[in-house]
Amino acid sequence: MKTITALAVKEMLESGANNLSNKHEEINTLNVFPVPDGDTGTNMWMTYSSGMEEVNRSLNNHVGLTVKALSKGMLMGARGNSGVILSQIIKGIYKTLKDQETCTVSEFAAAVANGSKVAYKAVMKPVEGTILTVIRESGEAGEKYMEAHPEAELNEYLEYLLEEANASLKRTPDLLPVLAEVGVVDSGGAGLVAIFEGFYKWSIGQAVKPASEEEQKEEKEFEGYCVELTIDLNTFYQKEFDQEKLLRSLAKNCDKVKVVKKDDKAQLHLHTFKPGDIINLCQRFGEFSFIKVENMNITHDHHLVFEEKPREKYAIITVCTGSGIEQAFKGVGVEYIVSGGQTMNPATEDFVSLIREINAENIFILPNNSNIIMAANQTREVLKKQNIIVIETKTIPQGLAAAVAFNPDEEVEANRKNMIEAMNNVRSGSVTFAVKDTSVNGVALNKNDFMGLSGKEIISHGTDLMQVTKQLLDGLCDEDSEFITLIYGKDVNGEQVEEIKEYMEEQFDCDYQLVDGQQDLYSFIIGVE
Amino acid sequence: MKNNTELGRINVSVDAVASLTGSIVSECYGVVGMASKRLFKDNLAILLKKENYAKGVVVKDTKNGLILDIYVIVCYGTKVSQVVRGVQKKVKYELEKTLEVDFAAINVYVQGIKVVD
Repeated sequence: MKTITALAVKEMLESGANNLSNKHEEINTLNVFPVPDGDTGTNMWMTYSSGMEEVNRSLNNHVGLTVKALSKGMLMGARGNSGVILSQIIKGIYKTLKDQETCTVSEFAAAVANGSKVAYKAVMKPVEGTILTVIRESGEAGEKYMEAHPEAELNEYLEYLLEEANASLKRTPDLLPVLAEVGVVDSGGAGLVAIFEGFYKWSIGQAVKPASEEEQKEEKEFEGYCVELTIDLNTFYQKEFDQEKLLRSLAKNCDKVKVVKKDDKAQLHLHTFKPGDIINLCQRFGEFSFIKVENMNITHDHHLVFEEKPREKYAIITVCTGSGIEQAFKGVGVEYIVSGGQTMNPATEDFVSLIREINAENIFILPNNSNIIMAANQTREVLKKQNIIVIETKTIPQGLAAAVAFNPDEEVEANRKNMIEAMNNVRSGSVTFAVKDTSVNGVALNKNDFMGLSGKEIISHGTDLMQVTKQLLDGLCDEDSEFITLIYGKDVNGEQVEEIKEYMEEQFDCDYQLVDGQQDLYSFIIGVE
Repeated sequence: MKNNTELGRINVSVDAVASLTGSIVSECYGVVGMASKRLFKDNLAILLKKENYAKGVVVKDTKNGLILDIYVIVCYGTKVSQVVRGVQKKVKYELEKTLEVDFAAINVYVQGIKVVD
């Protein structure tokens, strides 16, 4: 096409408008100059649409009048700095073309170049690296191109113009330091390039269509804010933090709420339209160590990681030491372990803080030591709202047996009975050593002597670990015994385990299980069922 | 305008603010000149030359912050309201960024429209 008609101009402008409209949000994000308010794309688009409205209203077949309408519409509807500049560029184009019914490509190129000149006149100290630079460099280059190739088609000119404008746009960060600092190209320039791109695409028969109406509607609907908080709970709420209550008070104002309490911190995630209210409400629990509020219409990320567990029907807590014993308990489905045992009894507080973190309806506690039963029972007094059941296991084998008897599909009461029954079925013994010369129940012991215990009774004692253990096994087992659990400690080596294993195979007609308990103090812990 | 730091006091004179503002305004699109504040006195708009931009700005330091009066000449054929808003926005942003000052008001007076051709 060498002669440009009014109809062609209208179509070209329409395509430019659509391309700008589709890209205006992308352009907004580039906006850092003169004021980083992120509205350049929108402003240019509104200005341009105002011009297009005027064009569509003016019914004529005259290039000059069409551009005049555009110029007038843009002047009236100019918004923002970039909008004003754009309107001046169009004014310059109009001034060159005002008497043309149709125009040639060369004339059009000259008009674009004039657009740049007029735009420059409206400012005392033009800042380079802006839309002004892009229109000047591309306009001038385009004019020169037409002088060199007077026969060029419109699409060839527009392709060249777009290329030059793009190249100029890429150079803007070199001219305007603030752009380089942020690492963007000029937003107004990008808007102009978007318009030129629309022009060019039209000239090669791929006129840009507006993004579908629906998409635009979706974009506009405000989704609210995503709020994430980490609260350092103050001393009062560290103890009294009531998740349910917080959730209730928050519920009116927000959705997608997740609250997790961890030690002295609470993490909170929610979506709301009024983030300020939420923050005010939460501040009474303590000060914030992390706050994030993001508009969800713009991209948002989640910074906090929530390890939320769904509320379960049962949870079992057990007390033990030794990594192997912990493993053994985990192997039979015990999820929560409080570290402790003979010489280090956990306090009630240890149970209470653990239970507060557990989200379960019924909680079983297996103390596994007569000294810990009391602390476990006291937990019930402290946490009256929770259903806590203490199965009074006095030894590790009893605890293991009770844990095995537990069945998540059974009712609470049935489970309690089964666990107590399993516990009572176990006869437990342990092999340890005397820490000093002493006499217990009339049995004289020397320091470092081994002794085999069942409950508080000393079944066997002596200096030979193997002998003591074997005697203890003899004492614990009878003809009804079916199953032996042997948990061996840190100080027992493989050969000794092997020896005991052979002894059990020879002497007793029952199955056995060997557990590498890794416990201190007790060489062997034995359970017989 | 005063600022106390741990090392000592920083004073920025109103003249300094005025010349900085003048220089910022001269970069605002659509503004083709600045008029002297003396306009009211001698009723004679003097189109200021580059060195004298500061004369088109009156700075008052009040308790609530600075009050700026900016006298500009706007290019004919631009949307004046948008040009003026652009001036306000840019001046506010740049001065807050460079001087960390608060404003009570930024008043822009369009003293004339100039036809540039």
